[in-house]
Amino acid sequence: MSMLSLKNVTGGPDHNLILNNISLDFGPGLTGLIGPNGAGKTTLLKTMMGLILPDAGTVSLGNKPLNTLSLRQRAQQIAYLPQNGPVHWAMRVHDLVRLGRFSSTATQEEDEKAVQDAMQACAIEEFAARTINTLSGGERSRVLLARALAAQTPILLVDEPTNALDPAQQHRIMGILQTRAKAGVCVICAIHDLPLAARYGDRLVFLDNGGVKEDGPPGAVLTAASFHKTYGLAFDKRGYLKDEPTPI
Amino acid sequence: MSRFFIIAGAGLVILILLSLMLGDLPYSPAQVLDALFQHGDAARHLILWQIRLPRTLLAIMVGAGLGASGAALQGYLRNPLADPGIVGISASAGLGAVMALYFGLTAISIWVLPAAAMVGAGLAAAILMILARGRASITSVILGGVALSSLSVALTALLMNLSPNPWALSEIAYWLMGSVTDRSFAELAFAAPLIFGGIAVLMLSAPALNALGLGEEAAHSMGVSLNRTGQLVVFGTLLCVGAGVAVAGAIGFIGLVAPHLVRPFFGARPGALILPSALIGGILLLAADILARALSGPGIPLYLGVTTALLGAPFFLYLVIKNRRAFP
Repeated sequence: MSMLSLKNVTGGPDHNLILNNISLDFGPGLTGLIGPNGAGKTTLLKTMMGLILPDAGTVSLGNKPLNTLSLRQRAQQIAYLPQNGPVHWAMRVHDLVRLGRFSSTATQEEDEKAVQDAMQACAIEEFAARTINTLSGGERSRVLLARALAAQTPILLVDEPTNALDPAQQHRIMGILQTRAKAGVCVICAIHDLPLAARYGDRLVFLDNGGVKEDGPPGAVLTAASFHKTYGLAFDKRGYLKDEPTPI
Repeated sequence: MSRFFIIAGAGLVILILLSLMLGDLPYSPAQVLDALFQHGDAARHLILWQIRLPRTLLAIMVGAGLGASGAALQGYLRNPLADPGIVGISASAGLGAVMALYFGLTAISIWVLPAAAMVGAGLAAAILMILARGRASITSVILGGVALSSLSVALTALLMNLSPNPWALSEIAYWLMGSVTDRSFAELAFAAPLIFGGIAVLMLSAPALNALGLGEEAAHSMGVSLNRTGQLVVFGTLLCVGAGVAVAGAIGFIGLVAPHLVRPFFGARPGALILPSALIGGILLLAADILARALSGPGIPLYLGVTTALLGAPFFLYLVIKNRRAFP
């Protein structure tokens, strides 16, 4: 079942053509977007969110082109968590998560229920009344994720949510995303940590140089050959990274 | 929250009473109430209704407009140091008024000066709206505002430089210092609808301002139209500040300080600060006007812009020192 699809998408910020003729279909489940820095992961997420308009090709939600939807309709379908998103004011956690309901047309009670559910999913209820600037990095990440979850959209786009977190916090965040994905949400998550991507992804899309290099289940995508080809790194017999990058 | 409104409401009532008591002829609270609601003493009634009440209400109104636009601008620009002065609307309104004074147009009608101030503010607002269009970054709005403000100040200085005689120069200089002295219900009737309208327009942007606290991209993904938000904030500020400058001259610091005073009570969401900042802005400007009158010597009036800056600047410094760790 296709929830979000790209057809021959070419484009990038300010018409810098970073994405090159990308066609992808996304359905329920957790898709990891992997690839080196500059591969186009963030650009792809922003293009799917409608923050970057493609120069060619179309992004569709279900069977509707993304650009025919109003901002509100779009926000009811897709939630987006930017990488290292700023928080400009020392907002209370509950108020911040409540912002996720910005485009909601539900009743106050339903909105509040969604906020509570999202805070519970991210285990942040205990600091609902605290301000964001008093939280640790891991707590802050979960609060920002809860804001995106509170929108209860069928599609969730997440840009490197585990950056700068300790291993336990990384697993926590990925576990929350996995739970959503198992509930039928289409979760697309840009991620650098390949073991984490392999462990939690139902599918991995390997981007390089603005194009899709590999696409499939983690076992098929993360091979020594694709790894070496993209990152120029190889493993020794023990399974450790070799000390020196080897020429591609 | 309710505690805030009780304290602020009580403070406002006390200040209104104080403002009505003070003047060349001080009245007791009983005399004020008597003159307000009964025709006891004809002269007292006249002074109260024609001089002190319009001045008092005008100070509250102008302060409310400045406070509300300060809160909205800080939210929109996501900068706790923003105020109506930084985006150039105050200075452009001031330039419009100074042009009216310089060219002697104020002799034609008392409405020329306020109209000229509104035109100046409107031009600045139009330029800001063009800057805020499309996917322009908000930094460009700040920088454009700073440029507009500097240009307006420079042109104002040029007009003062070229002023034909010392009398014209002093008229401009005094006007720029701001005042609500000798204003009537006519000025109030001009400014109040504009300021109320402006606050209502700013309130329309409140939910979007909250969402903008998470950055432009997150806000846009949540359904915020950055275009519409920018236009609402600029238009609301134009109405509030343009009308304020038109009737009371250039008054600083209220828009900067008011949001900081209410933040501890209402949390940091900018949208929730607009109305409380309006209330506090009104209180601050009325307090500044009372102080100006109390400190004025015979024949040496102290101007409102002077007392707001004298009260506002040290207080603002205190807030910055106290909260220097709270800014995220």
